Amino acid sequence: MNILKSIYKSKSLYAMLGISMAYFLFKSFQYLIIGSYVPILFIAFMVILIYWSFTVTRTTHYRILKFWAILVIFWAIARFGVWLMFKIDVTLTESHIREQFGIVPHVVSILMLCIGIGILRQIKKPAGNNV
Amino acid sequence: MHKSLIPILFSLIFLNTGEEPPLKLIDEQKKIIAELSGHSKLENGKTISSRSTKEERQLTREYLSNLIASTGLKPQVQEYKLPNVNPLVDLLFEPFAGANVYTILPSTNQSDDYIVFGAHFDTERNCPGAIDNATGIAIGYGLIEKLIDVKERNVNVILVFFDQEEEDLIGSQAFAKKLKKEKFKILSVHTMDTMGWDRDEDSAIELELPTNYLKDIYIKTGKRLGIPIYTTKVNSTDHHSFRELGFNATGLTDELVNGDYAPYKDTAKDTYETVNFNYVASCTELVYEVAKTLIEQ
Ligand SMILES: [Zn+2]
Repeated sequence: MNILKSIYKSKSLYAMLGISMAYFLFKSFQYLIIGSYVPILFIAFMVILIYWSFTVTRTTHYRILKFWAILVIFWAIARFGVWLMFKIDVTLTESHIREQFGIVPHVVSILMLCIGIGILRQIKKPAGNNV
Repeated sequence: MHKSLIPILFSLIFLNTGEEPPLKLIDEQKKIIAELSGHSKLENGKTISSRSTKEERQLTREYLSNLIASTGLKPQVQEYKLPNVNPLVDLLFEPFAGANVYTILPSTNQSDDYIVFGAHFDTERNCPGAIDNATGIAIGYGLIEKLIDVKERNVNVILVFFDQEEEDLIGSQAFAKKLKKEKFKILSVHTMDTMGWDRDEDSAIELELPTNYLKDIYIKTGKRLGIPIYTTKVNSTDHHSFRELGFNATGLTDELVNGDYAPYKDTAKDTYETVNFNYVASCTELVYEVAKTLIEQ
């Protein structure tokens, strides 16, 4: 598979992939600066995996994109879940997590949820429309 | 001059200038605990009802900076960001963000050595935190006020008020890291937490995980002042962060293990009215005498 050709043929799919990966890359660099390596290891693994998937069959490539989309959806749902948990149990003490549920974090969660669903829908389209 | 005339003259001077006579240390400490726990309004009209949210902690930091400045020392703020305790949480949420407030009382004789005294200023949500830990702050303030008057100081003293103790000792971790990174020569670290409850009125304190060196000094000083000192192995407060990085650290608290401890800690009932101010005064005296011994060595 030619990477540029693939991207050119289904711009919206790869735009969504790009935005979601860029967001997590940015977050992991923030963490790297303060000494936490787990986020960067995770995202680096995903970048390598997705890059590699361009070199194999389209089916495998789409499977890996599907895996990424599901992770992104889970990520958004987990954040909503924790928010709900804090809403229901007002005695939970983790103030610094509780304070992360302002408007902007919710917008980010919704955006990521949409991106995850968007990627899934794009790769379900008939092959001819995408690649 | 006739002796009975002196107080009259004294009060006349203050009447004439319109100034209030200076508060005694214990009254200053009462005022600090009252203001930190929302019992009294601040001079700017605001109230610190709790010290948990971002805004409340920022307001508290401003208050503490002014408090330090009132002693003539320079308040400093250490802002930090630290990862979550569980790295998986890092994938979902933002890191811890906060700031410690501290000051340095320089030695009078040239020295590169430092002793650290610290107390956390944050509380759990919706808790006034009068005993936990406005008392620790008031004792730290009393200590520095008294140390300023010591003429011969052979060691520098750092007084630090930690942020986010209630959330995995984050503030003290950040401060311990800073001291280590900047290669401060730290002789000892003493953290004070929850020192305002003494139902049996024996003035006793518990010393958490001291080295023999610190234990000896505290016990000797306690004997001299009539304050029983019990040692325990409790490590769930700020001194733990320093011990983790190899510092000679200990914690001071009320009789947590012995059973004479603040019962309303981390609740909305941890109010000004429950504070035993005689105990705050005797703890201040103890910490001061220990500090004096350490800085005169
Ligand atoms: Zn405490």
